[in-house]
Amino acid sequence: MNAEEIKEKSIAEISQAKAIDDLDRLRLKYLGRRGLLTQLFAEVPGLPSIEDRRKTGETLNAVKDSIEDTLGRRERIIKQLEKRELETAAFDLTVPGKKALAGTLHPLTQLRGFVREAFERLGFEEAYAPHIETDSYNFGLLSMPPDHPGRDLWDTLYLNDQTLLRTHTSNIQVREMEKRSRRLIEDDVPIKVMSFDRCFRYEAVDPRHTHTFTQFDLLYVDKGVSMANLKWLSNYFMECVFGAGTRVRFRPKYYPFVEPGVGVDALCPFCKGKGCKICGKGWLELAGAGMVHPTVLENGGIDPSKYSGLAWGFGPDRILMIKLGINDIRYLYEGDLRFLKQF
Amino acid sequence: MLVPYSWLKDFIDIRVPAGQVGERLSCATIGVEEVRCEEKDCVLDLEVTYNRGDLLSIIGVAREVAALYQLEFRGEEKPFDPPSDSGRLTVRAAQGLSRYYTLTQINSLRYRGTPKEIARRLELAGLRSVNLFADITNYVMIEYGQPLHAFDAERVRARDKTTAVEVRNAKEGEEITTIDGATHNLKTSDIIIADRKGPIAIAGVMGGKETEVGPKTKEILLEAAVFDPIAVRRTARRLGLRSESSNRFEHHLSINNLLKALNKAVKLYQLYGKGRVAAFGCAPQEGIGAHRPIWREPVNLNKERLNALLGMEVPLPKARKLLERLGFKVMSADKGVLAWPPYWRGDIQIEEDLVEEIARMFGYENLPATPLTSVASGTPPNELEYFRYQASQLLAGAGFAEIKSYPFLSTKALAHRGTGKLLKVRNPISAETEYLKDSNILSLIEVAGANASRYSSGRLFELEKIYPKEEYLSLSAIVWGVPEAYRTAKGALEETLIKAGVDVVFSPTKHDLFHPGRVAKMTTGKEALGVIGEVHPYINKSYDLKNVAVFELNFEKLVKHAQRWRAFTPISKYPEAYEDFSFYLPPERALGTLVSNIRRSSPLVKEAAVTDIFEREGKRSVTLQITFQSDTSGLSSKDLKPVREKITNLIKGFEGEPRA
Repeated sequence: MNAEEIKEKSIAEISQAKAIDDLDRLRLKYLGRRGLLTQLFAEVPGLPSIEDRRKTGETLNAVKDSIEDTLGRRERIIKQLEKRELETAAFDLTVPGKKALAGTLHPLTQLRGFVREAFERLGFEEAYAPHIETDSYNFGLLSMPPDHPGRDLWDTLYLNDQTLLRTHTSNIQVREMEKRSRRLIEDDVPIKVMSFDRCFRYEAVDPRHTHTFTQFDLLYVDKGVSMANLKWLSNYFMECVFGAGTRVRFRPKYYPFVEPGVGVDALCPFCKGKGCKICGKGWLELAGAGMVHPTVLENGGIDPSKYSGLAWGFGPDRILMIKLGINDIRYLYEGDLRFLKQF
Repeated sequence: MLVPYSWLKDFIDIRVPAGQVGERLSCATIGVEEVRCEEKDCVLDLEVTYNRGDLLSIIGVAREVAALYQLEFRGEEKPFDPPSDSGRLTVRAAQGLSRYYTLTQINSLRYRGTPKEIARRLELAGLRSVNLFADITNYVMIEYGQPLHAFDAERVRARDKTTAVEVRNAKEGEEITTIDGATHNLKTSDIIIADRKGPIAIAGVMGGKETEVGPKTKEILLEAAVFDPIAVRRTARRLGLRSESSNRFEHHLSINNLLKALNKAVKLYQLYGKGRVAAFGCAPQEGIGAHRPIWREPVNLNKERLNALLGMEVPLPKARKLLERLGFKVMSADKGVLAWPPYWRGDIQIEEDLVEEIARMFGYENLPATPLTSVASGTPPNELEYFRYQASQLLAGAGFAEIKSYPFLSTKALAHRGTGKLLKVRNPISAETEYLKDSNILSLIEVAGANASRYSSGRLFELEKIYPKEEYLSLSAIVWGVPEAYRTAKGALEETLIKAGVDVVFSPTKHDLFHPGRVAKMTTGKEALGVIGEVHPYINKSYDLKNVAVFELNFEKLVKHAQRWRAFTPISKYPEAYEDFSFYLPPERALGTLVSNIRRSSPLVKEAAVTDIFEREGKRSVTLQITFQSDTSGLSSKDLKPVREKITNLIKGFEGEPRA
């Protein structure tokens, strides 16, 4: 083929090309190292006259330019066509995704993680106490000897006279003081512990009550711990749960193992205190707290004239129910997948 | 405690609406359940706690409201003083059962209906009007917080010539029919009032039917006492007869208040019943002037302690005023004050009690919020919590939904398991809460069963305490409704174990809840960790489940062996070669053992993975994909030949039959 024929044929072929791959192939065919046009270029140095060499060279270069041009144009056209094709090919973007294999963590576990993180930031560490507890750690050492009417605040499930299912996570208090009082006294290491765990009570199950429930408790003993600290802690936690600026108030409340004792209310985040179906009169009663009773400190081996402590706790079930709008506490404990899969 | 608002006005001039008073009380004194208003009157429902027994009376609430609003408290009756012409009654009280016991005989009574206002107030306070003579005792109890009881004097048989009645423990075999018509067999721990014939009242709890007062009563013996709170409490609880009366006896009643209440009652019997005090007696007999201090034991309040405990400065004069408003007598003392609680505040015993009084009167809204400044204890991160989080996340990621189940075994579960060795609740709420579970397996099956009608297959797990002799955290999971339930559960379990860095051996075992031939125990080292297996077909059937596998392990033991950090194994730079081995393996030959033998057969074997198992015509077909790799060179077919032969021989050794 001479140059002219190459030009004609290549342009014809390029114009027929349907894909970029075809163009690459044609480029190779004509302009590649062993391409048809390249072969003609290779013959140029062997031409007899300078003039021939120059003329042929020019001709070949013109053909090369024109092939390159055509390739370029065709490439743009093909890309254009491809783009249009990609754009117009039917594809349903709203098709539901393939179900990923995903279980769930129970909402109480999720709240536990949240609460633990909130208080770990303040230096509290997890404490563990048995669910099957002695009467002493659950009541006696918490300033409630047998026959103390204060015990009426808890309806208790007993295994025998001395053993019961703990009614609150406050059974960590004296246990932890016993373990940690030495470091407090000798090394000035404050006692800062928390527990998020389950408790039990004699209670028939209905939408608002269960015999098995969850409680959070924390204990802080050091020199100079005050009710003002208690207020700060309450603000901190309620803001963590319900957002910055959540207002908190204290009201007197009786727990035998603290003095003074307070109930901690948060201004209802839903109605901002106007009163609604969730809160009733504008405030949510959410937590209970107080300064550790001197007798309890003594029972834990700590001198109440030198140290003071605060105890603070809330019912995670109730907070979850309020926060997530759960209308029946049994959902938390009965394992209904229609409930669990929502979280 | 239901407090009719109008009743308070007998003692204080309060003009603010009842709702506001309720709000104030709830912020400064005690919980208020609700303030219910009807046409003419409102009722405040106070949630009186043990410490504030004084608020179980109208005068107590009136005093408190007076202190909060700085009103004048008009005062109550004077203490009772028997008229000089009255006779003397002798009463006996056994040691320790009553602190003070009085009996007042009122004669020449004439019955009339209960005045409307008294009946109305009683009703608002939650009591039913019965008859005038009984209503007076209830009216005074509500007003003063001091329970009273009236016996029909003509039906009480004096113990002997001198002694009218006696306070004592019941004798074995004694019984009494109370005014509610019920008959009670008494125990020697019960505290009673007895005449010559036997019990005429359960002290502080309820009177006897036989001596009940009514319209025909002409003479009464009016009892006012301070019984031992614990004795009354125990008796009332034992008999299931806790009442308005027994409830009040559990608190700190005072002799002072008793005498004032008695005076009020006597006046009402005189006014409405035209009665006349004929005789009086008390025990101990030192006379009524004794045992009635107005002030209780003084409590010291250190100014620095007050401020330190509150975390704010309350000026001492201010603190003093606040206490005085509450009826305390306060005197200056070294570094603070000395405060004498009034007789009605038996709950004030220590310095912290005074701090609370001052704080609530000062207003908790004035308390600043002071950040915690102390250092943390500096203990290292919590391993248990780390692994707990890791295992939960892993299982959730593997499609398991976490549940929280009850700690008890249901009666249905017990039918499968029996009650042997289980911890038992002495006072269960029902048969469903009588036995504590020593394993979570049946709970999982039960929850799966409850979901099965809506979810034909599913996966659940739980990480919670169980209660064999020593309680521990159990990690358990269930898979149901999938063809390879066992492998699905085991895969999740193995991944959990790998992430915890714990090597576990599975070996056949026996377990009643499982398919007899399909349950393995897990051990690490010499320690038993748990079980995994297919659930027994009978149990599946009773819960409408199919293809169920469960595992359970002692999570605390697992964590003991777990390793948070695992050493890095260098990655060879030479290419891997893969080869499949397909063969039939009899089901009774242990594929798990074969795989681990193959893994150990040569350093060139990097991995042996089961890529396919299926059963056809009773034969189990297995495909293993072996990854070969050398750490020191590339691998030629020649290098692999001996390893390949070794693997083929291992398979043959397990009766494996190569598949074309």
